[in-house]
Parts: sequence; structure tokens; C-alpha cells
Amino acid sequence: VAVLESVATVSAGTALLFLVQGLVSWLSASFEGANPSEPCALALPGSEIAWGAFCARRTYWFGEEAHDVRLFAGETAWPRVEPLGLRSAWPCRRPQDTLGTTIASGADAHGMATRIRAGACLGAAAIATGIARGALAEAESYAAHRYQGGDIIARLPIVQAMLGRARASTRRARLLVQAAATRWAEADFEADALSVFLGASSEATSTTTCAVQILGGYGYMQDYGAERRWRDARALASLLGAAERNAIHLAGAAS
Amino acid sequence: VRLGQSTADALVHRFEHARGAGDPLALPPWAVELRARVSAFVAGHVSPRVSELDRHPSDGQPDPHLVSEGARAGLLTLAIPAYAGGDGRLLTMARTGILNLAVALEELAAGCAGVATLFGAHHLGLTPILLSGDFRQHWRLLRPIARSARSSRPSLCAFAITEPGAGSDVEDRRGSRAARLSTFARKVAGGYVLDGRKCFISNGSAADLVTVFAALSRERGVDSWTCFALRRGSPGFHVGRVENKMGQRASPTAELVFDGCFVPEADRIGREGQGWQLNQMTLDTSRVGVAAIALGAARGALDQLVVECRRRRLGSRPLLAHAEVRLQIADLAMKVETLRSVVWRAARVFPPSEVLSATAKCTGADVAVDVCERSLALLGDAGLDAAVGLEKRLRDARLLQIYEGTNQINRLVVADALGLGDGALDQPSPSSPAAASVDERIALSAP
Repeated sequence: VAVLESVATVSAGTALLFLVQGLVSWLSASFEGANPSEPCALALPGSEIAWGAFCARRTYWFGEEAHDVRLFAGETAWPRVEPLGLRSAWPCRRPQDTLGTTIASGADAHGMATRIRAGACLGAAAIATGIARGALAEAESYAAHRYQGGDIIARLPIVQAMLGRARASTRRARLLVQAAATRWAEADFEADALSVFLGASSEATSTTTCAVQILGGYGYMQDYGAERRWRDARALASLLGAAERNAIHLAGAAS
Repeated sequence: VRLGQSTADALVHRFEHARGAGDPLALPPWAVELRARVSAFVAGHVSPRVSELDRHPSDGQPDPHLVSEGARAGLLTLAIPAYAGGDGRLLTMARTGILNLAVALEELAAGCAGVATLFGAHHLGLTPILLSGDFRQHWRLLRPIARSARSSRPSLCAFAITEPGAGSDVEDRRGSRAARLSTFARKVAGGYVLDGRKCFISNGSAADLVTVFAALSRERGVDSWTCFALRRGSPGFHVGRVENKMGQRASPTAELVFDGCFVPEADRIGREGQGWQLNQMTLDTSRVGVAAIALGAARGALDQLVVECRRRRLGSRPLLAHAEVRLQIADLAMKVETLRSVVWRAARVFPPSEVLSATAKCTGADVAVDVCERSLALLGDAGLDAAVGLEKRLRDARLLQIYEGTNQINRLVVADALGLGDGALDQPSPSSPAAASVDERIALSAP
């Protein structure tokens, strides 16, 4: 969690690649013949996009409703997706005509999907916290140097209030992630992880909005990191599929 | 003229009632016709090329086919009065404000917000000339623009106020006094010489005519601001860097550099020192335009969301079959309809009201971003794919909260109009704040 958060302050896409690699290492340990050190890609349960697929030797794919886990081995040239954010994590879409090999099904597949989803939620929450931290640092640095109305904008009450809220958001996300990380082995961890992911990604969304707004016109330009973080935060929020699907999962996990 | 105006007013009034059976928001027939015309332009020339138009225009030029077809559809001459060769209706403007522009921009933005900004920024550049009320300048500066719209190479206009050290400062009364201005004009025989630079100018790299604001005195700052019309190719006037933006790439944004650029006295818009007033009146007008773009952007995203929710499945059923999804879509549709009331009300007031314009701009930008964000959330990672198009709509919509005064600046405008500006606590309150309704205060603040 700490590593993912730190990396995400600079590049959330790179942090997501690390997360995928970590999850796949754990997943591949369950199968004979899998080499945990080779670059792999993963389509998270409930997701249509595989992350890290361009450079991957193996791609693990959770089928519809996690009824099975499929493996796509060897060189694959899957079509690259141009998503809103997290572009450095090499997102690809599975071609319709490739089916892969089913390596788990039924209760096994469901159990794996549950663990992978929980790990992905916690890792993505850490990445969201890193995005928020990076955005806040950039906004604070800009506000300390930009003049408006005859004063640096960090002294304007309206900007102070925005930065204050962003700071609180970032802290809140961090505390949530750290608290959840200590509960990894608990039985109801999946519900915790999903709740933390929803909370942290919401905090990252609001903090990056604030950062772009403080930078004004510069915040919309690609020369600054604010717009990339703003896009990354929103892409991350959709990482685990539709909001409706997450709500259903949360209800299921809670019950 | 008086007879003509009252006749036009009466006609518009009758049409409104006949069409909408008392619905005060019903569009007059000419607006319905305009809407259909722009909608056909969007269907034919914008929607099929949305991804292509989303590429960064490194040469700073908008798509030439788009501009010439837009000109053919009348999108460059909407606000130019008929006596200067345009399609503007001065008589009905008194009754219906800038409703024509709002209707056109909404339709354009439903296809692509960047295209709406391309044509909206053109009208923004024309607005100070129109508002100056100098008919000879209308004839001299606007007629060539109107004529070019019927040629193979239509002319675009731009409006330049933002400077590297003065962004929100020059869009708000309170910051303007201390703004760090960097563009100055000095008087010489027969005209003025401009030095300095402007940044983030929509259409800046493509415009043939730019309305530029420059201070005549360092000490007096914006109090000495004066507006000038500059033509492309004037000695000392050149385009700097072309910005690489997150969205709205169909409209190029560039830096403009003035290096000893001579402007003849005849091309000064308004009086010396009248620039700030012209700037404020222009922004009051253009903020309604931005609100209309937001309305179109929100509507376009909502329409696309419904299409995707019919097509995509969650579990064994289409997304649209889930009650929660339908509730969310209904919620978004209600927001869009509420926004339409605000925008069309602001668009019908002429001269524009500062508070209504700021309200419409803020509300519109926030609704547009919210609709796009929630649409993406409903679709999950499927919505992230550029091929679906919703992520572009979100990137485009985000700029609406920044340009034409950030939403924070616009909220301060509303707070000022409610008597809550700086120093409000030092003033003895003659009555309770509730004594005069917000609506009355807005009416009082109208120009």
C-alpha cells in the first residue's frame, strides 16, 4: 500500500502496473507451471479492460460474473484502448474471437475473484490516495507562487478554503487505506476494501478537481500534471466496473 | 423604428404563446428553424468526425471543412446585424436577447463542445464591436467578416483579455485593480502601438480579427483599459505557442504576442478607458453562451448514456433494465431540464444581467461535469474507452468550469449582487437580508 501510494503521487498508471503485477503473482501461485516473475496482465472481475496487456506474456481474465478464470498465454496483440486516464498502464481490450483456456471455474473461480477484487480495491484505494497527494502538492506549490489581486493566491481565503478541504480529503483517504490494510486477513475484508476504494476514489476525485481549479487555465493544459491526475482519478474510480455493479457487490458482501 | 420594434415584440409574444400554449420557455418559430438547421449541420459535419476533431491542432488551425460548412449554415453571422451583411435580428433582440446564439451553441455542444467553443469564441470576438454601438465600425469591421462567411475561406474572430499574469483578475471587479497587466498601448500619431502578450486565447491562432484589451497607463491599470481591433498580419502581431489542452481541441487556443504593433485610431473600439466596461458587458453576454454550451454538453452526454445503457449488460440484463440505473438517468434528465430553464431565462434578458449570466454559467458548467461524471460511473470501465465518446465529453465539459471566469469568480459576482461583497459587514443593513428577495436583488442589479 505504501509503495503504490508513493508511486501514484508521480504516475498512477505505473502504480497500477505494479498493482496488477502483485495481484497476478498471487494468482499465478495457485496454478502449476506459472512463473510469477514474468510480466502478466489482468482483467479485474467485472471489468472489460485488461491492464498491462501490451507487454504481458500471460493475461488472466475473469469471465462474466466470475464464473470462470481464463488464461491467455503467449504473444497477444490485443487492441489498445485509449482510456480517459491511467494510459501508462497499457489497457487493452480482448478481441471477440479469442477464448483462452479456462483454468478455474465454479467455487474456485469465485473464491479467486473475491480475493483479487479485495486486493485490487485496497491497492486502487492506495493509488487514489497517491493521486490526491500529488495533486495537492502541485496545487499548494502553484498557489504559493501565483499572484492574483496583488497577492499570492495561497493567501486568498477562497483558495485557502479549497486547499484546506483538499488536505482534509487526502488525509481522510490515507487514514481509510491504512486502517483497511491492517485488516487484510479478516473474514469480511472484501466489504472493507470495497468501501475504502469507493471512499478514497471519491476523495481523489474531489482533490484533483480542486487542483485543476486552483491552477485555472494552466490546470487544463497538458504541460502540468493537474489535468493528468484529474483524468487518472476518474479512470481509477471506474476500474472495478460500473458503480451499480460495485453497489451490488457491496450489498452482497455486507449481507 | 419604435413602431417596428413594438410590432416585432408583439409578433414574438404571439408566437411564443401560440407555440407553447402559455409555456414561457417555448421557442419562437425562427429559433425552432435555427435549431433544426444547426442540428442538421451537427449530424452531417460534426458527429461523424468527433474523434478526428479531438486531435490536438498542432498548427493552430481549426478544421477548414468544419469552418466553411459552419459558415454556410450561418454560424458565423448569427450576431452580425443585417445592415452589416449578417443574419442578426436587432429588433427581436430587445425581446429575445441572445436566444439565437444560445440555441445554436446548445445544438453544437450536443455534438461536440469544442466545436461550440470554436463558433462561440468567434461571436465573443465580435461582441465588443457590437456593444460599442458605433455603426460606422460595424459597417467597416463586421461587413468583411459577413462577406467572408459566404466565401471559400471564412474569417474567424477572437477576444483577448487573459494575460500570463492576469487570468481571473481581469474577469472580476475586485482583482482588476491590482492585476499584473503586461499588455500596454501607447498613443502615437494616427493611432496606438501595442506591446505585450495575451494567453489562452480561443481561436487566437486562427482569427483574422482579434479584439484586444490593453492598458494606456501602468498607474491606472484596468481603469485605462481600451479595446482595439487587430487584424491578422499586422506588423508586430504574431501567434506564440499553441496550447495542448485536455479537451475542446476542435477550438485552437494560443498565445498572442504584440511587439510594437501599430493600430490605427479608427480601429479603437469604444472610447479610451472604456475597455473595462466593454469587457464586463461582453462577459455578461458570453457567459450565457458558455451556459448554453454546458446545456448542450450535458444533453449530449445524457443521450449517449441512454444509448449505451440500452446496449450494455450488467449480469444477464441490459443496464437499462436495472431500476437504480433508470433512477439515475431520470435524475440527470431532471438536472438538464432545470438547467434549460436557467439558460433560456438568462438568454432572453437584454442587455444581459450580470447575475443571471453568472448563475447560468456556474450552474451549467457544474451540471455538465456532473452529468458526464455520473454517466461514466454508470458505465464503469466501458465508459473510459475513447471509442465510446463519453470520456471526451467529460474532458470537454471540464473547461466550462474554468473559462469565462472560473466558477469561483462567477459565484463571487452573485455574492456581490446579493450585497455580500467585501465590506458587507461594515455596512449597516437597512433591512433584513430576506426583505428583498434574491430575485428582486437580481432585477435591481440588471444594467
